[in-house]
Amino acid sequence: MVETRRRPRMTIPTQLVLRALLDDPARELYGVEIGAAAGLPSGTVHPILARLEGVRWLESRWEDIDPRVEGRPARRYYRLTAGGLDSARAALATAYRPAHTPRFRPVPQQT
Amino acid sequence: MTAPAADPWCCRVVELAAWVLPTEQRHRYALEFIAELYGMPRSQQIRHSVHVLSQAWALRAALAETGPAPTQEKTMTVETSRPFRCLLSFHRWRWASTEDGDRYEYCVRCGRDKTGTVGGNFWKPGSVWAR
Repeated sequence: MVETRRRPRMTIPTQLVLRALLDDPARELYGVEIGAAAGLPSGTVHPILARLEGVRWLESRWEDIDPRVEGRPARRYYRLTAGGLDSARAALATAYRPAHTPRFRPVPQQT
Repeated sequence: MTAPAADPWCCRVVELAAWVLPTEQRHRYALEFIAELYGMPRSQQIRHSVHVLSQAWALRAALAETGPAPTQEKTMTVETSRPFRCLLSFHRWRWASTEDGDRYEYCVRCGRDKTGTVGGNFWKPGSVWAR
């Protein structure tokens, strides 16, 4: 497929979101989960998700549940597209990373 | 065990955030934001909804920059057909009478009556839903 849309700006939050999604590309996540996995404040990831969805790196769908049974509305789940997977890996490989990356989340302890 | 319900005030805040978005995206994001509130403790719902509101203009810019997101399927909840102003509780009330003469108010847009029942008098014999 020909990529007709331009690449999103690879800001640090965008990189964090992509890395969170690349941890398990087959897994679908909703906005709050993506924010938590990326270490970004809850509720701030939607502009990034919209940009990535707009360039077809992400696809989203409504959760297939019965809201009356679950007691909550269906969530919107996101995952990387096949093209987005390759594009995201390539973009992250060449993305600018400052020498001292801001710590949006605690660095996990090495065991 | 069911997930904690969304706080009504937090729902209003995220609906306000959705209000600044382009018309064709507004409804989708309102539903998405509200769905995300479920399962959170109230304090986290407040933080989350404030963050969503603070990012509303950024989301609007992102949607304008990349164009409308692909919409492969319709939403699945029953309430999705409710007009957005009704989701914000800005109903257009009208007085009406039942067959036995009782007076009640209902919203001409979504059918909600003031007792809080969505769909108006759908339980009444002869209505579409009773057939």
